[in-house]
Amino acid sequence: MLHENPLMIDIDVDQWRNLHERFLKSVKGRKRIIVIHEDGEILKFIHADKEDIIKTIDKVIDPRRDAKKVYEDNMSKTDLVLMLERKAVERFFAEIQDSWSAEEDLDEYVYRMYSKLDEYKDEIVTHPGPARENLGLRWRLTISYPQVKKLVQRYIPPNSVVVVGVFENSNSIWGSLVLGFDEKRKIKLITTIDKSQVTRNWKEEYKQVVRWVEEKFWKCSLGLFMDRCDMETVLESDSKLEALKDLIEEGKLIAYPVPEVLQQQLG
Amino acid sequence: MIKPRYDGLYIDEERTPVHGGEVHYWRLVPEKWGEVLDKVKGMGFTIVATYIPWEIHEVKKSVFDFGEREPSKNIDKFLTICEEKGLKVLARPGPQINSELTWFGYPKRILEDPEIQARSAQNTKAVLTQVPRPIPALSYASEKFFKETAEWYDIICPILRKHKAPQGCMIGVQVDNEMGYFFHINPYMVDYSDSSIKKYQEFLKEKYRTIENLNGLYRTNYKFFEEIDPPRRFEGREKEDLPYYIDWIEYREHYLINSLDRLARMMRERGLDDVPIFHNYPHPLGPGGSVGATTTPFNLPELERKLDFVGFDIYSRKELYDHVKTIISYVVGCSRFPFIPEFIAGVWPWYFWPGKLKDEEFVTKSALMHGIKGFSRYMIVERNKWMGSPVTRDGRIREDRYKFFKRVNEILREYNFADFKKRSEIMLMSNRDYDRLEAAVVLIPFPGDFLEPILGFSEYPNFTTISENNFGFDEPIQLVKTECLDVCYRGLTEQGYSFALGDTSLSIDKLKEYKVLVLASFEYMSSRLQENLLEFARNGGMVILGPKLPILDEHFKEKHTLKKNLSPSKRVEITLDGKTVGFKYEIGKGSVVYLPELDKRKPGRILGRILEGAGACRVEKNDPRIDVTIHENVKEPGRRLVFVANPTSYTISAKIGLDKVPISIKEIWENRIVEIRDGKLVDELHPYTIMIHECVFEGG
Repeated sequence: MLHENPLMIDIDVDQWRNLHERFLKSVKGRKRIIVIHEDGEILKFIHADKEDIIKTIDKVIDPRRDAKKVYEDNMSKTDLVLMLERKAVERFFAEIQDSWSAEEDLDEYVYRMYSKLDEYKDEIVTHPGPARENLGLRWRLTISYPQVKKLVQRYIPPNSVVVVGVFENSNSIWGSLVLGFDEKRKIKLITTIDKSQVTRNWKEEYKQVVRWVEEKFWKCSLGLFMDRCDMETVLESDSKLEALKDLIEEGKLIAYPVPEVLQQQLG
Repeated sequence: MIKPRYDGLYIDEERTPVHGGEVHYWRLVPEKWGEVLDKVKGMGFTIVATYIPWEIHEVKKSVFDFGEREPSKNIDKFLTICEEKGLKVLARPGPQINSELTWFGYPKRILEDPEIQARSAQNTKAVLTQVPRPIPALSYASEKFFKETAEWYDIICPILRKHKAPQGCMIGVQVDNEMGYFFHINPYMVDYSDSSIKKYQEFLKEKYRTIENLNGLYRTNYKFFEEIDPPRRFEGREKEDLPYYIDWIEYREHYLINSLDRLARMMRERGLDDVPIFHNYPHPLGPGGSVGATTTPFNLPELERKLDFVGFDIYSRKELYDHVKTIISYVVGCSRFPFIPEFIAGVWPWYFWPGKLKDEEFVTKSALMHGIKGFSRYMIVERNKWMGSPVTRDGRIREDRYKFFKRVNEILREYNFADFKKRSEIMLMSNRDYDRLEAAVVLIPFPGDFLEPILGFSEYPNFTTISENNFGFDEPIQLVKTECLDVCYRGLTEQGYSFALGDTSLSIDKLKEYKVLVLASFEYMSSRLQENLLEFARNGGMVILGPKLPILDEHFKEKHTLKKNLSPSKRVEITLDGKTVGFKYEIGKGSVVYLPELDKRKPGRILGRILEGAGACRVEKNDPRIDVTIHENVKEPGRRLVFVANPTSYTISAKIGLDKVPISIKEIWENRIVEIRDGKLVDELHPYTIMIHECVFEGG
């Protein structure tokens, strides 16, 4: 979905940082116990922050059961147990790397890498939860990558731009994302709303933002504008579409423009 | 001729301080070049650095565009405009430039060529997850790679040659970029290509001369060097197994040095023989900034025997003060010209959780505080895939950032920073042999990843990924050596001593610039280092080491060179709180201090005790969290700059006692008079701030 050479221009660092803080989480930020073993023989058994830990296993027999046990023994100082079998890790990386092709998009490659963890669920083990849901850098969204792709294919017209603006105190842009999709719906443009576009009240200026997008880039097919607290409402909702509809009805979220196909969904 | 010296580049013996910034001509509208360069000059920059991307100029194999088709690719014209505007230039023609380009600066065909690709230990491609496309690592051992690069150099070097200083603007050329196995730092990732394995075998042959010598050490029965396959994973159990693995780590250093040397020679052969050629190692950002990560697979001292100067790039946030201090102190300790080739001015969009301008201010002052003498800001003019520069890609100014960079340059010029030199009579040393051991015993291989390594490990070997085996030594040296360095680093800082960092690849002449060497020592130590330490002590220096005295050399053969020179008759016990904490042995004009519990105690007070009278400059401070450095003006001895850092998230009221009382103190960033109370510098330090105090003394 990410173009081979996207424009990533004029990004507002403050907005970008806010988005990172809200939407990204890293396995590095979690209190981890690391167990490295080879055919069950434990070679490494440590806490990533050098905390003292209880070690009640001296051999890995059933990795998933043992990871759970290590976690339960050390629950007060641990978010995650990572249990790795050496040879499996070597195989895992070898397989993913040898499948590289210059034509494959970054997100596809990364998604395949994470998906492959499922093939190693007895060897690259985390607890609680499977490795695929724990490792690496992750977004804090209850929506999967294939679902996002599907939504883009379904609702976003080719050669168009989607803009999402989230505001604080009416006139301050907390975070925004301007994504341009090319004729194959690959992301060809990534930027943020220029803060000069909203100076008084975003509810009076969102059309100006859309004009700015269209003058500067391409036709805007979807614009979503809301206050930060309302963004949280959508994110926390189990039914995001329903949440969007409710907020639109209440006048708290403005969807402008909206692609026809999505208009029907939003009512 | 242009020569690097400690305080800048000298063009025909005239000093040119190197305070520059990166501008990418091909990413800007050429009609804006002049205007943009004026803005760069407006901030006080006198030097522009630019990559020159093979990827962009090669339209198809052997067909290049230098402005004939797309005016933005006219590098010759860009350099001419720089000349017209009186700007000097650092040119960076690769071949690898990264530069957030899709193919890292190479034509795509190069990356796709299996003959040029590096191979992993599992004999696969070795892919770096970078943005916007993952790319395979290339083999810098491949003859075809050098042949292809030669064609690029044949085209680009003649253009650059025309612009050489002093007639032209070009005062330096960078060879390649952040060479470090395409961020596959993990030693069992690459390069296992046939051409690299051949070079590895040649390396062993040169090192051991005969296969019998190697077999004797490895306990093997090879008939020829050509049949030796490099280690593809660590499987050692005892110390006798280790040389095979450690040699691979040493080879990886040679690989990088030899590749860069060859590329530099190719440039010189093409007419770039009288401008300095330099290189930038990547920023070695372990968790929190690992103290030991500046050595293997990098080897700055060895590489500077081939190139004119070498630095490390820095992109840090304020919380990583110790990381910045470590890198800068290491470059200051090792390089003939302490230079940061890429120094944060904004970041790439996939730099997660980017800092604020305050972070850049703190990092800038940290670098100056610890003695950096030159830098190039990356990027001073924004472009595609970069954010947070002081000048936008269409030439607009971001007021706060513009003002900040301008202020830095004003201060550097107004105070003639090049005339100041950080006082550091102490060198804290990483022992490269132990760092190689640490790298050799890594248990888990994983590739480089610009998003985030999926397993969450630092790409640099550390306690989370290495073996805990003792290998027959009293302790796992690969783990304890880092603790030793760390406690000494903190101990010296707490006691008010500033120091340079170095490593055991430095020449004895370089070591002799210091009065005191501090380093960890265990059962083994290379013969050369044992001899160097003795010579250093005999020459009047003080060596502080521990927790073991070496009895073996780097091949784990008996070697008591150091120990047998420590005579009990010339031994003095060192006590603290009534306990013996170490022994001082007189040797020649100097001494060796042995601390058997260097790794176990907090050595701050012990170091403080030992260093009394060693001639090392010490400051008194009321709070151990404060860090202080003193820079002496080499031309005016009565003038000093005293940097006081608060690298914490708390406000600290600082009281600093210097070796003599100044008659006046001014904080130069804020242009503010600072109080002297009871002969001490008194100042309030907000979280993550550094004050730069100009102190004037009697007679100054």
